[in-house]
Amino acid sequence: MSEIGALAVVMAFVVSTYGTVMPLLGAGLRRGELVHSGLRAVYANALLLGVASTAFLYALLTRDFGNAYVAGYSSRDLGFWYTLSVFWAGQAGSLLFWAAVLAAFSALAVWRLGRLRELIPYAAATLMGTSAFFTMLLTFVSSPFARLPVAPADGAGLNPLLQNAGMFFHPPTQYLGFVGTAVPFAFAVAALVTRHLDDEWIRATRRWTLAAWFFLSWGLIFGMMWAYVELGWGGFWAWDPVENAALLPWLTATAFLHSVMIQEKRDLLKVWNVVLIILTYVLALFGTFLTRSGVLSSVHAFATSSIGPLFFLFILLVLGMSFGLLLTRLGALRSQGELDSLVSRESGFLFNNLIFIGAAFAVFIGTVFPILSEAVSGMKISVGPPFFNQINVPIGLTLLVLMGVCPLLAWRKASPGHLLRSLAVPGVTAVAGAVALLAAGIRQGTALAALTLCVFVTAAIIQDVHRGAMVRRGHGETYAVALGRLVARNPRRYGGYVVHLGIILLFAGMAGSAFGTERDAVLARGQTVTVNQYTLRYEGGGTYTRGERIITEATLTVFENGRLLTIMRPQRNVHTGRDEQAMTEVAIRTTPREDLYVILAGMGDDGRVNLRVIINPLMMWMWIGAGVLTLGTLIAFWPQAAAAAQTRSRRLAEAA
Amino acid sequence: MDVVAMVLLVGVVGAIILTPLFRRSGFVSLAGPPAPGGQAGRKTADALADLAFDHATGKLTDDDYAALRSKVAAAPAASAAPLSLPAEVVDPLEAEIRAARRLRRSCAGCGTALPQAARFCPACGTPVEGRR
Repeated sequence: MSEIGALAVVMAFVVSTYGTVMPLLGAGLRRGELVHSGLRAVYANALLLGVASTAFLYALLTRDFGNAYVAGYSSRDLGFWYTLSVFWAGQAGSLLFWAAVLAAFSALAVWRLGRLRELIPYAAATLMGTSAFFTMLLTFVSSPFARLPVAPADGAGLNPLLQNAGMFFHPPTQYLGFVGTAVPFAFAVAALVTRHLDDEWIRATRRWTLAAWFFLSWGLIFGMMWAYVELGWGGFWAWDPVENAALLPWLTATAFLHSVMIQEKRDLLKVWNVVLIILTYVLALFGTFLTRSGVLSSVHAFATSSIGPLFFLFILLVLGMSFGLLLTRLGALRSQGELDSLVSRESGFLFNNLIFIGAAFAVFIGTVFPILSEAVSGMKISVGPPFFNQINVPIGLTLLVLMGVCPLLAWRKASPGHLLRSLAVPGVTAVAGAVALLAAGIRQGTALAALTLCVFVTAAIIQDVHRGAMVRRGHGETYAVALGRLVARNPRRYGGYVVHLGIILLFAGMAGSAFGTERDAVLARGQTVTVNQYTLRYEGGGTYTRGERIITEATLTVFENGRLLTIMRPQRNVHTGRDEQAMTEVAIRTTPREDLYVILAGMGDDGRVNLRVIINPLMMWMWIGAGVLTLGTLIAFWPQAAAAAQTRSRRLAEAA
Repeated sequence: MDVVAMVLLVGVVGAIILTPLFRRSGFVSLAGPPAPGGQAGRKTADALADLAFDHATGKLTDDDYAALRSKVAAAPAASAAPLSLPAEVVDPLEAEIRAARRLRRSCAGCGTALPQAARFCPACGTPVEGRR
């Protein structure tokens, strides 16, 4: 089975190279059969990497420790799901996963978008070029099918940090997002080569972009969940280089999702959109590179390896080729339309784009600052969370303002008087919200501003949806029917609004962490510590062994205003099999209002425990926001109702 | 067993990729960028719909709406350049259209062009010959 997998990988490299060359050759020589054969290579590549992945899974599940990768990352005591997750726990497996997902996406794209006869040869060549690079790495640098001379009796086991549900889902989701950006990128390249620079490529890949964005979002969310429950920082985000690397393509992809609408509606921003998708794809590659190269030290340090230089060269190649191509096409990319007014939906989107790019730039500089400073001064200087917070808090607040104002702006030209009138209800609601928040005791400036703006945006969205529904009601529909049809007519707009509501909840959760409380305590048995309304009493603790883990556990009784609430058991585990790696298993009690989060920092020989008690307000709403974001994406994914097309032709007839 | 599977894999992949090479297929290409004409109509319609909706939801004054609407409606939907295609693409298509036109029947009574499956003339009711 292993030999079959290894053969499939080598063949995938050959076939990918063939699939890169043939469509280009066919398109250049105007020979249909060559293009056709090249497109078949895309399908064959998917088949081969499917076979390779199956063989690899088989090695994992049968615990074939003769396989170097399986011996390195798996072990006999690993449960089924974690054995499965070993697939992407190490480098060779991750690369195989990347390549297999890319192959599947490429085949799907060629199948679904094959009708774009002009673009498809170049898009396929771009996708297969990427596949050739990854299969080259798999063949020559980092093989998932490498054999050990002697199979050990048991494997080294999976890094305990990775033994968490968040870690089961985070890497594949992140990779799906990263790889997903390759499809719109490939079609952008094809559009540049063929000079088909209208919005055809954007429309064709709209859902791909949306899906990629969705997976990037969930990659971040799963990562935050993992950091929150497993890393024991007390937080969900630490501006770690690899976290930033995942955030960067998300920022540019979000900007892209907004700016493509302006090209579709107004024929503006053609160059900008191409630049955004190139940046998004390159940043996705950069994200994979940072995770896998060990250039910057991070919580992902377990993933360091030797493929860094090759990867870096590949990124430079992609960057150079795509921007070079773009430069030769600048003349053809001149926009035909023009902005009618500075106060319009278009300029709102434009402003939003500038802010996203500003945020991406700041995060990028902050992330690579250690490399830059080393190059300039010879010293690796890291910028910490204060830098990122200082820059991104105002950026986030500005985005919130835009999120509230944009839905109230008309396309082309908003009438200022009407805009002010539209702002009245959300504005008044926001002021009322601010008063309520002050009354609730929130004094922290940033959090107050953020939460007030959250109220503002929510009111603005509800008002806009309500107005739309009322217009339809004027045609005699009941409110519920009007609402449903409104959304069905323009799922993209209203799905977008729902996504915004999800983002609002995420923002609320982040704002909550600004007025959290944190307290360290050393407790002997029977002693208590009080944080806000909670009193925690240390009842006792102990150490016991389970498998390879030495578990130290403290038992705490929690009282709220004197009433018994719950019992919490934070743990600290030392994994003897893995260099004595110590891990915190935090205890969390979640309510809609706040999380009570307890970390066991250590236990002394005298039986005293060292605790860190943190109160994280509104955390639950972050995870709920993630669910709302999913719902919104699904709505935006929905095909536009046929009725909308009829209205369109009616209006055209009216206008004629 | 493994060897058989490997040979099979090579064979299947080879067949998938190489068979198109033995079938000569035409290469149809629209030379140059496509004319925006096909999209212009749809875009104008969408723009008008957006304007009407923004007006109805109170984001535009009546005056602004009227001004923008006439501006959009007058926009270059008609300026769409005709498709320019190379002769080797156009000629066979034109021939096909001519052939199809020759097959098109007309009513023996009044001369109206008849739909493909018509049994009676939709204009005068004369039965179509050869169809019962």
